Amino acid sequence: MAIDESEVRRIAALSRVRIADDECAALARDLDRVVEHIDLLREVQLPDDAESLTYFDVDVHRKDRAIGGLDREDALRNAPETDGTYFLVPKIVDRDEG
Amino acid sequence: MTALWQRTATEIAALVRSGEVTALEVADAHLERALAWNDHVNAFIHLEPEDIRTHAREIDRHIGLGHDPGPLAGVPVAIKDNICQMGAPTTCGSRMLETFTPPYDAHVVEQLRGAGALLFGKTNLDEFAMGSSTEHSAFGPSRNPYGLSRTPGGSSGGSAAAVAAGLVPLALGSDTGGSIRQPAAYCGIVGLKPTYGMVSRFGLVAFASSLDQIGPLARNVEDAELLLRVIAGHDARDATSSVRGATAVNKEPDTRMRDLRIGIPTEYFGEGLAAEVRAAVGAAQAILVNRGAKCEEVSLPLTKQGIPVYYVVAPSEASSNLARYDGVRYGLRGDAKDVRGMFEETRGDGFGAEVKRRILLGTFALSSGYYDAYYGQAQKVRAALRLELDKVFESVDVLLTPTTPSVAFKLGDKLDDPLAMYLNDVYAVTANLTGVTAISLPCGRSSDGLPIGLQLMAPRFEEARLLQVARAYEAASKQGHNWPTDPTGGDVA
Amino acid sequence: MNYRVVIGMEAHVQLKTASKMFCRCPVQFGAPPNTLVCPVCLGMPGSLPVPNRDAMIMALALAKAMGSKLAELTKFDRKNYYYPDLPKGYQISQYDRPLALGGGLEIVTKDGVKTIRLIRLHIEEDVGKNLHDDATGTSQVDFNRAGTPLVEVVSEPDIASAAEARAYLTGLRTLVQYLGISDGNMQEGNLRCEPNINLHIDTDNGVVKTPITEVKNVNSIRNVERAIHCEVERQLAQFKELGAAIQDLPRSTYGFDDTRDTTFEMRSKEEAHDYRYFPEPDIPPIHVSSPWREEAAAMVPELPWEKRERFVKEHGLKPYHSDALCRSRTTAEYYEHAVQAGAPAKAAANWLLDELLRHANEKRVGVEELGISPGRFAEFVKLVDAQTVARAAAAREVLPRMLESDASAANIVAELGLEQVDDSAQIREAAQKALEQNPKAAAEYREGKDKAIGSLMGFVMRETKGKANPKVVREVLRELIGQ
Ligand SMILES: [Mg+2]
Ligand SMILES: [Zn+2]
Repeated sequence: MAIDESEVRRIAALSRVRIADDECAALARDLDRVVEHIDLLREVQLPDDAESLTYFDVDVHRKDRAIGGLDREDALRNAPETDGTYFLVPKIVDRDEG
Repeated sequence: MTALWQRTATEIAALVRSGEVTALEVADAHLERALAWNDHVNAFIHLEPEDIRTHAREIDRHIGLGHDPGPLAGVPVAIKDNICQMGAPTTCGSRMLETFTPPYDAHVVEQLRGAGALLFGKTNLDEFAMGSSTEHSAFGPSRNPYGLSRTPGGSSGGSAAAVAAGLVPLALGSDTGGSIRQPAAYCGIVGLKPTYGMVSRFGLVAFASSLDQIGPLARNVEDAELLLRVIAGHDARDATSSVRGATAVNKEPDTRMRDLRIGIPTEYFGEGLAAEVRAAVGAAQAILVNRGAKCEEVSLPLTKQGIPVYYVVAPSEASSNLARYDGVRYGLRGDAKDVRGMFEETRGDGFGAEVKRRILLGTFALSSGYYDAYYGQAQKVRAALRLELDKVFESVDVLLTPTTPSVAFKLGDKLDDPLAMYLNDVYAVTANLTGVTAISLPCGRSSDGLPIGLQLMAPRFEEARLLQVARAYEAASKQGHNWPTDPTGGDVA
Repeated sequence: MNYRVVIGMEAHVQLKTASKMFCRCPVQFGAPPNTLVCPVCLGMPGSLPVPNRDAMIMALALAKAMGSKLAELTKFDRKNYYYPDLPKGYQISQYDRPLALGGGLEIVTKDGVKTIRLIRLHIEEDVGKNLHDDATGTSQVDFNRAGTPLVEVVSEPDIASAAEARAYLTGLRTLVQYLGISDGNMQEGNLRCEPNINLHIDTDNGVVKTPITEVKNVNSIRNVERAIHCEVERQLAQFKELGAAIQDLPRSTYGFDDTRDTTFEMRSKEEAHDYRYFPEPDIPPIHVSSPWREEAAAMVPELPWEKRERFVKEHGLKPYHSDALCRSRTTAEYYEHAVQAGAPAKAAANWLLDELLRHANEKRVGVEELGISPGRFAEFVKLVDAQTVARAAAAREVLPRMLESDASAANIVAELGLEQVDDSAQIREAAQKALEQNPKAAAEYREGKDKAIGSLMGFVMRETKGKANPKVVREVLRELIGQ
């Protein structure tokens, strides 16, 4: 049983997703069945330094030239709460990573 | 003269460019069809007739002034609703973004505007493109035009249904684990997933960044290619977009049908494949053989690892890509009075069950103590899968496989069994995990009249070869588009 | 009880690029809130990061200057956590393949020279800014700073005192200013640091290591020192209370309150942060090409410690003076241009350090911005050195006027009639008069009271209206008294 209800609650907290109690049981059941199938991965024996990055033939950067971004109005247009200058959120208390 | 809504995109563009038909006439013909059908198939989340007519008049005015209207002049193109279109709602089929109107166009939308296309509305999808049936959309499922109780597939189900039912000749979808090809197979049309990096992802709302690709859905290969040429190419705003895109799509195909070597991977024809699908794909193979191609059995032993790798990599990337939906800058916001409460409520209410499942699965796979066993291992197996496929492509030019194990299933059939839904993508995920290009073509129908699709895969940036084989099969199989019987009671021309 | 203070420093250097790290928005300090933002740095749906090439070159240059080993292949990773000022819900940073490893920074304290080794340097993006409005009970978020390029420099715990921490941070600031990649100004927030502090305490049964505390929100080098002192005391007190059991406590994060001069524990997070690092899928791995390495190497100027040594060797300066001059690259270059324009090396150093820097600090500008070109300054120093004008007069009268106008020192001296009289005939005459009118002073001097010459000197200076050269006056008086 890789995933039980307490594991679901732990992961939900880490993901900042509120899970209602009645959802928890179903999630635990579904996720556990999926993880069981995913464990098929363990059958594949690979050296630990096996390559894991995928490489591209792309040129991956840009020159340091600045161009203007959005007008503030566009930037804030979709904001759930704003005073026209800032995005507003409930008071931040802990002054540290939320 | 066949009704405008039955014409191919290539024909419409020629008619509009020559002035024989106005973009407005094209718009009205398709709007009439769309407004009649959409209540049945629910293909569109956002369809604004007046905006479409205004845009059509602009195209006509542009042509009137003698400007070149572009290769898609006046062609209606429906856009999956996880692709940003400035000024139009882009909801991703989610409560979370129901009110979100992006202040910018996706790269592909810029390209469409530049090519004179008629932007025809935003199509329905599984929420944030996570699903294979559009049943996870917050705006209700789309329905299969060939059987309204059946799914049109997903997550680009709305786009596929719209093209199949003649509401539009072309549509854009996005393919992360078969989300263009599977709906194309279920709706009996052509769906192409380009090579990873061929089409810019700027403006495509991210599901799994290393797998997502935007691609065309059309009623024939020529139209699919027409749209692909418009959207493919390098974009400086996407660090994974390749400079090889434009050249790859314009390259002349390098193999003649006579020398074509087609690989038939045994792992794609094991048990679990419906008999009717196996038969249809077998028949297609025969057609290609008598056109001169040579078929040989090949083996891809890691194929069964495709779903396990996919359902670690995609949810992991998704859990991070969807972390931005926190109620601060846009979209839904929970009304808790503390920051953490706001985050949890926003995401708890904003996301549907499937999105929550995948976010939790991804967070689990990345969380400390589990990373190596899940995400780390999945990345290694993915690299091995890629090597294995590249090896096979040293001896064959393309692979021929079914697109899906079965025809379109009934809506509701797989809703309470997520694993069964996931296993449905078994033939599709390899192309996403390895970045190669793949196309689904209609190749017949099941006894109850539901479309069957075959899949062709080609090496990265070999779209020219893929499309050549697809055209050859399409011509040889002599199947015109099979119009669905009209649920509105009107007769089908 | 004896113990050792063990400090490792995490510093974030904000790079002075034109555009942000992953989008094209301008990097500017003090613009109106949320006006330097775009879909990318706002983390809007569908936006993608594209790395800033020149920011990476700047970071490579810093790494090269610190003797670090540059990566062949580097990649970005996502650091996942939730906070209102973090637009994407993750920060693009680097985890297991940073841009550079190792290297070091030499520091000089009263106990001598020491090298603080580095663990690694990596590139990441800054977050936005939160302001807290107690009145409305809301917080306001400004994303202008979000996406600004940062280089994080992580040192080994080689720093053993607050003074060494100061020397390390001053050295780092000088270095980034030398490279021209950052202003390195802690007040403005473009150099931020978090000391990680713990103690190794000798006890009867072995060494007790107190849990490491990371101190955040320290906004000046002075406050870093104060925070370290606070932490040492707090941890000692805690050890006295708990003894060896202190070792079971977890790492903790403290803030520094400079008004109450104390560190305070920040809400200790229930679950230790699980950032779920994984490779950034939107940015493929980057090969650090040789053109990049060459471009980075070309950015590295003569470094502070190299210049310091050369000034001592070539200009015969005392190490203390050389160090003061080399603390800023522009000051050091201004000095050398003056020397190249003919100013005597030692005199030019003294005049620059004593006078020019004072004026510059008053005006809060660099010496090179005072409006006196190195050439004009050289001419001034030569004039004083040749004793054409008295030192005091030069400082009080000549230099200030040079600041206001672009007249040469010579013209000012002439205009104000400040030329020092060397003409010994005039001085001899005045000296003669002095002896006649002060026979007592002359007698006392002969009996060996050197001080007595003072009043005679004063007489002669008055006689020559202060223009006589003191050295010449002294010689003539001795000569006359001796006869
Ligand atoms: Mg950092
Ligand atoms: Zn920006």
